[in-house]
Amino acid sequence: MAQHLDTLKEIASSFSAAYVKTPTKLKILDAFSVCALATAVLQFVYAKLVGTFPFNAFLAGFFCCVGTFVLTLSLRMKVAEHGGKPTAAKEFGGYALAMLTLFIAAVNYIG
Amino acid sequence: MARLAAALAAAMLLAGVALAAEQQKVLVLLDSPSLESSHSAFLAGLRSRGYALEVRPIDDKSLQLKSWDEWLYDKLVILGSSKALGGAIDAAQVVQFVDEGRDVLLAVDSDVSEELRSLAQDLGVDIDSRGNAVIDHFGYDSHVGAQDHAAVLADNFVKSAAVLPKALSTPVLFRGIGLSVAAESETAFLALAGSPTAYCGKPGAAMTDAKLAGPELGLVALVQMRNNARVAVAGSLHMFSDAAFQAEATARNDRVLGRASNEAFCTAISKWAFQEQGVLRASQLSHRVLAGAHPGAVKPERYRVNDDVEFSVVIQECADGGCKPYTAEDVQVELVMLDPYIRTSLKHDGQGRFATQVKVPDVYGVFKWVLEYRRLGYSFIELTETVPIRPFKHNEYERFIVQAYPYYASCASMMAGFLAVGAFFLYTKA
Repeated sequence: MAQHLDTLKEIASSFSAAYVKTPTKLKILDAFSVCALATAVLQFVYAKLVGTFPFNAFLAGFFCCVGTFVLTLSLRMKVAEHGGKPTAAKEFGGYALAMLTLFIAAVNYIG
Repeated sequence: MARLAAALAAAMLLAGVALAAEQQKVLVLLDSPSLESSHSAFLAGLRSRGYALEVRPIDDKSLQLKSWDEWLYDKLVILGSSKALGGAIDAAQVVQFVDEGRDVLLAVDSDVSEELRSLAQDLGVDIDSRGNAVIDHFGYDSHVGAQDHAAVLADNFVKSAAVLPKALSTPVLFRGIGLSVAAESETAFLALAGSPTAYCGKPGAAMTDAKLAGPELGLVALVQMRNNARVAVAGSLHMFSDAAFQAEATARNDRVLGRASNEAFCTAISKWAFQEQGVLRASQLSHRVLAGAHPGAVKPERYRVNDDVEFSVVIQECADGGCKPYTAEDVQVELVMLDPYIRTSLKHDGQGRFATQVKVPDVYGVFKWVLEYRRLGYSFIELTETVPIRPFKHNEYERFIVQAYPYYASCASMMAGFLAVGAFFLYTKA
């Protein structure tokens, strides 16, 4: 048991040591996508607890978060290809367009 | 809407017929001139009820029922026997007369002509074979039927206050031919049926299986047509005669039952046939929204799904020239779009107003209110009123629901997060 714990600790420490070297831009995107995913999960739990009454609002809120998560991850993959160079900024245009479309759809549907 | 207007117009026409001050013209066709004197009490009864009678022989060459597409008479009485219809009148024209909402009283006897038989058949009543008579070896009248047992005492009256408002205490003296109506008939019924021991056959001949016997053997049949025209078919001329009106009913073994009910019965069925009894009149059909898109709207163009609405109609029962509020617990209304989505009973307030409150279904489409009321002895009521049901408009849905605040917040936080991340992403050098 203690052995497993040690292994986990080792993985965590090596991960954090490696992650420190990640460019800040990627870290920000990671944080945002984790936030989006957590919000989606929270909404799901909330809907389970209070019922699905404004179902359209639930769907809009939930899929807004899930969509944000997916789009942010895809932006991160593109940015990672550039290896932290300033040229990564040109990928942001497509991301912004996709996010705006997502928000318009979500606001329309949220009622 | 047009159908409703037509139905109301028809209902008012029927009521108007009963109330009209001007005399209604009745054509009386007699098989032989002697019937005018032998049936004088019945004819006088019709005259005293305000009808203008025109008495003609049935085979008169100059008979006319309509002239240039206009009916010359409101009612038709045929006291017929072996002679066929004469002049311009034939069975098809009498059927057309009924089809256009006019009433016919047809009485025949055992000697019935083929044309009158087929006329009765067209109107929904089958008359037994020519020459047969109603025979009852137990329930015969011992004054006039002792010989052949073919003058019977019948007291199997229809149980309908619309036809016979007052119960008859003595039987009807009947000498004539038997009738039958199809068991599945929606329009025809027997006003007077045979006793359990009565049958229809040849007098004096032995018979082992009678086609018509017992309660299925009709003596007098009434027909309430779908257009509310009425027809009475009696298998006996004799029952309308002065002699029968005066007769003492005398059962087997000379047991005296008292004056036969012929006069009361014949008056009742002629009143029924001529729309003086058992006429229902529906009016003031209305419906309104109690709660919903437009509360209080009377006869709105359309409802919204889930509206609370009230349906109401006034039904009156007209008899003997006057109308009084109808009372019944079994009047139903349906809200129909191909299938009835709602079927509910109407409650009345004792003043003739029948109403019910319902929540319209959560389904949109072209619905209609349908009130169909068919009861034995009463005229039919058929009302329809189309009211489409629409869904919510886009701006009629509830907004800013407290329960949904977390969802709004999540969406807002995603937008704020996007702006913050975007600003950082574009303006940071690292």
